[in-house]
Amino acid sequence: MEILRCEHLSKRYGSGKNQVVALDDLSFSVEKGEFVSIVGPSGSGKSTLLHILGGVDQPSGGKVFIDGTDLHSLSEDKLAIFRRRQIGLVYQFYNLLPVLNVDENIVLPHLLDKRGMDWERLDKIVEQMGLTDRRQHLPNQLSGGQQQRVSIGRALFNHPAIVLADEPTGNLDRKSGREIIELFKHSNRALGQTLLLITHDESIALQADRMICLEDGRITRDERIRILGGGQP
Amino acid sequence: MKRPPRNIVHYVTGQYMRQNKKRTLTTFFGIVFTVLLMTCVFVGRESAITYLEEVASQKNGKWHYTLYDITPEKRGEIEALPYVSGTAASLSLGLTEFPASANPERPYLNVKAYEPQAMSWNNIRLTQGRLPETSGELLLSSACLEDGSGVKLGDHLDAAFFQRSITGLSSGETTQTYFPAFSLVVAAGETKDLPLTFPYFPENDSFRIDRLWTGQTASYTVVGFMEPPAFEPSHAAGYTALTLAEPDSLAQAASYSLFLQVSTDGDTPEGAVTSLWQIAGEENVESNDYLLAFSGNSSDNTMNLMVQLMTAFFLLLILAVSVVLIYNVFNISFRERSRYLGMLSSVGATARQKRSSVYFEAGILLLAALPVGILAGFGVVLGGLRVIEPYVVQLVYAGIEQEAPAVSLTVSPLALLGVVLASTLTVFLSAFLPAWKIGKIGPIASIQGNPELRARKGRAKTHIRGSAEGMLAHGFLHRQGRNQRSLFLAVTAFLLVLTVASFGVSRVIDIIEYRTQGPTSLDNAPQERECFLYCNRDAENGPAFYNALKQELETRPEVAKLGEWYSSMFVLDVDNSFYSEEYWNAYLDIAEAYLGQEHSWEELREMYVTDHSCTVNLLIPDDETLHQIASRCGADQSLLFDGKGAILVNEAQLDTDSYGFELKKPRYYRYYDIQKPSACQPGDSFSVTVYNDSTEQELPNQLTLAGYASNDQCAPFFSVQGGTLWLLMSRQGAEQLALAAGYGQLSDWLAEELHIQLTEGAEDFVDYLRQAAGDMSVMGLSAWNDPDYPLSISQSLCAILRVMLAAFVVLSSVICLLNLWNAIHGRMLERRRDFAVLRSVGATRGQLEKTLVLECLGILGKGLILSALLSGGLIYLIYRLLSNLFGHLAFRLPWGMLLFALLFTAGAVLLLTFVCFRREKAENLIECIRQDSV
Repeated sequence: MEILRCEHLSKRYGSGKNQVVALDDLSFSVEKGEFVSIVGPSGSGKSTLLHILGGVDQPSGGKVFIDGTDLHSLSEDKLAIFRRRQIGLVYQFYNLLPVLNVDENIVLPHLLDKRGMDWERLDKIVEQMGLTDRRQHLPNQLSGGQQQRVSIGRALFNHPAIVLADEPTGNLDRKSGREIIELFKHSNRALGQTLLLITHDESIALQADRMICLEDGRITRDERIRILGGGQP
Repeated sequence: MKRPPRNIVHYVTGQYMRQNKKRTLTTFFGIVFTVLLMTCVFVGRESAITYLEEVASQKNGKWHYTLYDITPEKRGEIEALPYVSGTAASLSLGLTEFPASANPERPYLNVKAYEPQAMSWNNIRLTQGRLPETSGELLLSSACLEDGSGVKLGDHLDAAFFQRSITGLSSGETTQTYFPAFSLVVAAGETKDLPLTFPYFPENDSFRIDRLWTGQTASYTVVGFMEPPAFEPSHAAGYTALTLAEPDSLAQAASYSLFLQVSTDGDTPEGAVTSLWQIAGEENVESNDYLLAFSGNSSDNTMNLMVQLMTAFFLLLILAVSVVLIYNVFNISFRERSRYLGMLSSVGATARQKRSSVYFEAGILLLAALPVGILAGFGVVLGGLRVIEPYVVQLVYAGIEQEAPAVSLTVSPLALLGVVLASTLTVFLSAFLPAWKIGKIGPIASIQGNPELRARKGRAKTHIRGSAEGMLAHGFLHRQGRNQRSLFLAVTAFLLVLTVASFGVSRVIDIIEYRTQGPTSLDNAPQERECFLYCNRDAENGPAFYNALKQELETRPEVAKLGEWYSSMFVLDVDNSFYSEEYWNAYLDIAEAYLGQEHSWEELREMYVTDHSCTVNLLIPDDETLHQIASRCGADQSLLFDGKGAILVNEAQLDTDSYGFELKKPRYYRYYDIQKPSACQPGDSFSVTVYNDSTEQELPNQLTLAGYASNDQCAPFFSVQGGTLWLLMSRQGAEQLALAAGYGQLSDWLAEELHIQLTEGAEDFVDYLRQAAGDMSVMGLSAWNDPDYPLSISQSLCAILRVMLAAFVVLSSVICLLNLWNAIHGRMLERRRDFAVLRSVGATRGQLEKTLVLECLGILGKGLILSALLSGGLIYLIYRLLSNLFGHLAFRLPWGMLLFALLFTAGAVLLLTFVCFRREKAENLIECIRQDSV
């Protein structure tokens, strides 16, 4: 079942001679439960693509459908509501609220949606993220890896249709990076969570089901990954 | 190749200022406002006093004191006094016939010889010709031309001088003749000298006026005409004529008058007056209080203290407001600044260099702000002077037909230096703390950002109880407290300034107003289309005229309602125990102000309380009004209207003007606002004694207190003040008292007045009443539409203080609003990223706005608590200070102003927050998230 589809997506910055084409007529789709990695050199348009797919940036042309909804036809408020229900965003620099502790940051999209507090779900997520002994700490009292786990917990809490992660390990050491990828893989394999992950690191990209390569705003490769021997590539 | 900057820290600071134009401009305008306020204080005070003195000098002249009966020797002594800055003599030559007069009631010239300085100090204004240059030349008051005299320039006049005396004649029953305007009483057969300004009276059966020839003669040539001088009354028998006082004539004169000016900045005026009294005699010294009052040098030390106190009060508040504003401006940019300074620090900048960055920015902005602020301040001062101009003109130009001088600025180098120094001090004082903090921040903390938040230790208890908005607001308020400090300070400062200023000024105005109205008074408060007509029973035919008018009014269609009131002061004697302990304590404090330490408190009590004859005043409104008052104050109406009950207006004020002790002068002014002046409780019975003038008998009676009324409850009908309490009784009850005391009718005992309510559309009928009262001269009228009378010094000072308060509130509100805007805008800029993150995880604008409202309410609540504590403390200190200086004041809070301050501040915070928030609407989410700082 198709969960994400983008059609003729383009994004341009500036005008005339100074115009920069970040995305150039991109079309692809993602199936439900799929783990897709997007790779490409710096300036290839990876982050721009992810932000447009996440509804935090506007395309210059084309359409994005998530679970059948045309994302950019929604009003600002409807888009915000859609984001908190259907999209989980994970950034390279975590982007946690510095004034909220771990628990509060994780439940933030849930509370914004005016749903009653689901303590069971919170306990489960906190445990899955390995943050049980850090629940009342503020972001600045956590390591980078712990902050990223809070960020993933926040993205997963509302059972979104898709989680979009923008270089989630880019700011972490190798060990922490590996732990984060394991969390993503677990959520994908065990919970069927659809994932779209941007990375520079080919070894991480190869752990996905499918890899899309971007260059100069165009898809240069879109292929399924076969894992030989069933172990680490 | 471009040369490298000499000071890299200053260069980077300059770049930062250029790139953060909004912040730089806000800081700049903050400093401009500080300079503006300082200009208002220094230049405004100087200009206002100079202008007020200039205007006030039109009333009596530019001299500070006039000394009468001064011999040449005494003049030498006076001129030797260190604070006397100049003198000018005036020799009165006397009256002379003025054959050219066309006014039979002004047949003389009142000739004075002035030294040239005296002409200038007495505002002599030429209408024709020139000033006299010799003792043979004469300048005449143009009033004689207006009266039709044919005298012209170049005419010669021969003068033979005389004084006048009055001798009382015996005719019929008249044994004494009264001249109340001149405080003159002449008994039959008695002869008294007359003042030169005494009117001209033709032959009369009651008195005779004789001329006393001085033996001096002179010939004059008319060289000019002047506007009638301020000291020339229009009723005087002689027109003023001035000639030049030559040194020889002054040397030969036995005595003359001396105008003098003193240096108002130097010696204490009290000391000055005492020295002058010693030389000239107290009765021969007249001070020009109109001129001296505004510089705090009048003979009324209370008024002087008020003027000085208000200047200091406003200066302190302005300094405080300015320091908070500038401190906030620098503190808000602390995080932004700490980042680039951290980077500089990481490449070797010392703490001193980091601090110098803040001082550099402060200095650069101050340099630019000084001329702008000073010029803007000039504009505000001029505007302020234009606002107080009508009050000043009303004060001074009562009865004088002269044009007020134009409002102008007075700027002395000293005042400008004061502005520059005070502004510089304020700015650098405000920048000190942020500079010190920035100097302490290490490079890593600075670069990582939000160094203050990083300092937090320990766990943050989870606060998931209600909505996301509540959780976020709680987080922002409790876990980022330091970042809210600027806004919190701004809110607190705003509330504090409004409440403290309004309390301080309202208390001072209370004292001035009390002194203005006199010790004891009953003020009727005519509402729309209401009049009070008072009868003067002592005047010839007074009661007859009054009764005739009353009968006429009962039938006039213009009169909707006609009631009769009675009132008299000091008509009922009561026991001393009727007045409370608080009252007597205040009374004895006043006695002590007069008598000093000559008597112990016990002695004073023995002397003045035990034997003191104690009275109360009586007011009998019409029954309908009394019913309304009784309902408003919850008094026992059955008791009131069965004739034995009375309502007590339980408010009293005492001051050193209320009583005199042993013909002494009080050592200081004291004012007591007595909270519970009577010891009598509602329901208590008390004895009263009515004294009958005719039978000279005291007749005791018994009354019961039906209830207390306050001035507020009586406000729609009348107000009372003073040291003697007022009882309200029904007409029936008062008549019983009067009859028991042997009076034939109530009007034999109490003064009556008609309370007239005109019908709608019959407002013009008041002119008829006014004319009737004026023509008969035996009645007085007080109507709702009475014209404003010329103001006294105290009333004008009150009006000016109110304008000063309003101006201060407006200016400080602008500063506080700027402060709020700056704090809110800065906070919003710092939180753009947080808001962008929130929006990216699904917060709608409505939810963000709700979060902001909750935060604002939290900050307002905290600000309210702190400002309540601080302003409570400050208000109490002001109350204590004023009580120590002036006596005992009622601790009344200006609730209206407090509510206004709270609502205005809350409205401003919410409005500015939303304006700032909505301005960010167009921002790209991703750009905001990526942006670490401004």
